[in-house]
Amino acid sequence: MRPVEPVAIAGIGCICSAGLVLKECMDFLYKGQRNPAPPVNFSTKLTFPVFEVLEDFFQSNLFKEKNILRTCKLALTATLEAISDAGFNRKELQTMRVGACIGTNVGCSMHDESFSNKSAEDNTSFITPVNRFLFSNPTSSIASEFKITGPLQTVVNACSSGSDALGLAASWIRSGICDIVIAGGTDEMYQITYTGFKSLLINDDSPCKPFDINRKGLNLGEGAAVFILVSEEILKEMKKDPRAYILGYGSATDAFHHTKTRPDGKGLKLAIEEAMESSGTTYSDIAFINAHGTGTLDNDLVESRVLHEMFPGVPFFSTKGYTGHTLGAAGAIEAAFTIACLEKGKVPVSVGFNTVDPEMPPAYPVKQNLTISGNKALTETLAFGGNNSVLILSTGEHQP
Amino acid sequence: MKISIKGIGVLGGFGCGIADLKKSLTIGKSTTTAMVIKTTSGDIKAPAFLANTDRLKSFVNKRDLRRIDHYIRMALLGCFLALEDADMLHAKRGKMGIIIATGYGSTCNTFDLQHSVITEAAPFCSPIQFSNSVHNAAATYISILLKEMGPNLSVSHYDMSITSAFLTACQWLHQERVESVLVGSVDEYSKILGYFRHCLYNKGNKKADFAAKMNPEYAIIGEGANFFVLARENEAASPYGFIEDVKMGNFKRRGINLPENAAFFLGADGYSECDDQYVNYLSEDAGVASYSHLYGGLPVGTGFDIAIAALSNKLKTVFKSGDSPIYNSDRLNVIRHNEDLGSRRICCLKLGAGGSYGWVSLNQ
Repeated sequence: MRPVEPVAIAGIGCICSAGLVLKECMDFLYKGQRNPAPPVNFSTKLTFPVFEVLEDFFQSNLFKEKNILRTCKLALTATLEAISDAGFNRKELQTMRVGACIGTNVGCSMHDESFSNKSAEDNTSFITPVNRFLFSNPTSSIASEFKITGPLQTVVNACSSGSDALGLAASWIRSGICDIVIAGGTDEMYQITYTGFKSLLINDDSPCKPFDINRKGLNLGEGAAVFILVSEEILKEMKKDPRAYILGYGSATDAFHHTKTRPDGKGLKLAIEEAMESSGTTYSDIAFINAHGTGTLDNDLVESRVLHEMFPGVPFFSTKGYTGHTLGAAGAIEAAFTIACLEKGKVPVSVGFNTVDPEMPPAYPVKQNLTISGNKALTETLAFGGNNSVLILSTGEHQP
Repeated sequence: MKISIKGIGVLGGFGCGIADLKKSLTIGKSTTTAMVIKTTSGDIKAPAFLANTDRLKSFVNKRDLRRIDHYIRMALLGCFLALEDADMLHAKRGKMGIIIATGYGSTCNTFDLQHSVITEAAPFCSPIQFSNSVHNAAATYISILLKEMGPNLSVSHYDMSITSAFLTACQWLHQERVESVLVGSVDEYSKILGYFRHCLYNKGNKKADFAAKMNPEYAIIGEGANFFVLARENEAASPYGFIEDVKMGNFKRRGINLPENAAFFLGADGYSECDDQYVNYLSEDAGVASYSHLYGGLPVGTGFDIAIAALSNKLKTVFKSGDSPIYNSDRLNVIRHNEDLGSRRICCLKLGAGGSYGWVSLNQ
């Protein structure tokens, strides 16, 4: 992979259990807080803790699109924040070549209680709910709400969907097919995924503990993060400075197992190498790493070994202790956190980590909020299907 | 730099492989299967174009297929057929990307999974069922069986899924991220979809105009897979031709710029309210064809049109179109007999939900 041009990020929006906007999330993280609890957005007899957005977050008066899935509401909320952060308005967007590239899982999976095998057997008409479902995936909702006219893509790469969407969207800017791309990830807490993860025996029945010796698995979460990627020409035309840059992106596959991480970490290493090469950045330029860090036994072990081998001594942390694993949104939310940390010059304590696992190499996540120097960082996501996705990010000239 | 089509793997109601597709194009029909959906109010009949995956056994051993459902089998078979057609099945392939598009995902498995979670007294689902319901499950099996560790992408954007997959495939090749891309799409028939068709046509659809125009006999549910091996070429000739351009947008908001000197293959399959709007964007003299009567209605139908376009390039022939009121064929210059392709390019055009459009053009 040859080095590529950086792509400017003009604005960011983020919503998850840690906060309804990015600044709120970061304040929450730096306080080391978290509040997982059994789900309330659906009825279940299971009690594994999750990280839900508990507030009535969707301001329906601000949106034309209302009868949509929760996943779409999260995406629209984050998009509105991102557009505002970028200093654009809706009308400006309609005059430009704007595309959308959004990662999700729940937003595209055809499991919806309003139509089912049983309702077919009962001969219940369900044209409306099926149409509502088919035509309201998060990318389409964004396109419809903001009347955008460019290419649309919905990435369903399981847990790496959000970071893959950002990497792919950056290439749309570089190749000139868009002036602006609205990109990111979104997923809601949903009964099927909640029960499905339980069946895999990788849920922790207590708050998750990424990289800790006592880790028992993950907690699920929900949220969305959306970025406004902009071409240099548009930035100049509008006399705006970028908030941050996507410097590089890499992805590779384990070709190993559906739900288990490849023990030798080869897929992750390939993704890191591609991201680093494409960014034109040296390994010593990386100020910190926002790891995937789910809290599962396999993931954390493999990830810590790879990070120790490729980035010895570089501080790393997981934010899943604050947000839970937000699946298709995770890569985008963590990219938003990474940029916010670079801007602040500080990374949060890797909450949930207390005791070193002797199986791991001597590379441990940060145990207290840590001041960092440098303006480049790496964020990585690992996914079902063996997908590994890596982004290299840097700060821009505009500080929010 | 050009992007050539090195190989094609297709399966659907027309059969299995590019030779079966050619045969179906030649005779102008495919075989439907009469599906029956049992309901408390009696049986509902729903015809469908179904795909047979028996040939997969010649590529994958039985043991590896144990946990693989029909949806994933279709995707796997499409991939193996494409690689075989490209003569790349056993060859050293270099860095290859994999991109899989689907409109619905694995619906049979997903609805069974939902049923077990929602209706059981204690929420339960099988771990295999759950992991196979994740949208990238097909891509996972493919990467494992092919031992391919390159970029791997799954996309699902209803009827624009396959176009967006081609967009990314071309980007990866232009960026020199990979040497080749195995790109394609898959969708399957399920009871829910059969019943949805029944509701659409027989249960008082409120969109009366749409329903009235939609004669059910022109809107048969289809399933199947279509896969392509794409590669960068500098000079070499390619029998299937080259991917010239991929465009996506919204025709209701900004119209469409279509290529000139082209035959148009329309993705009208009886399931989109935009099926009758092609006439508003095509010139009177442009030759048009629709082949959904061979593969059925499914979100990734454009993938079959791309396969037919590539085959047309190879044979220098445009096959006769199906004749359907769905796309106002009486107001268009429909290709009613096999004809010489001449110097034309072929543009596979889909007008989709919400005013979205996507087209993929191929030249010789």
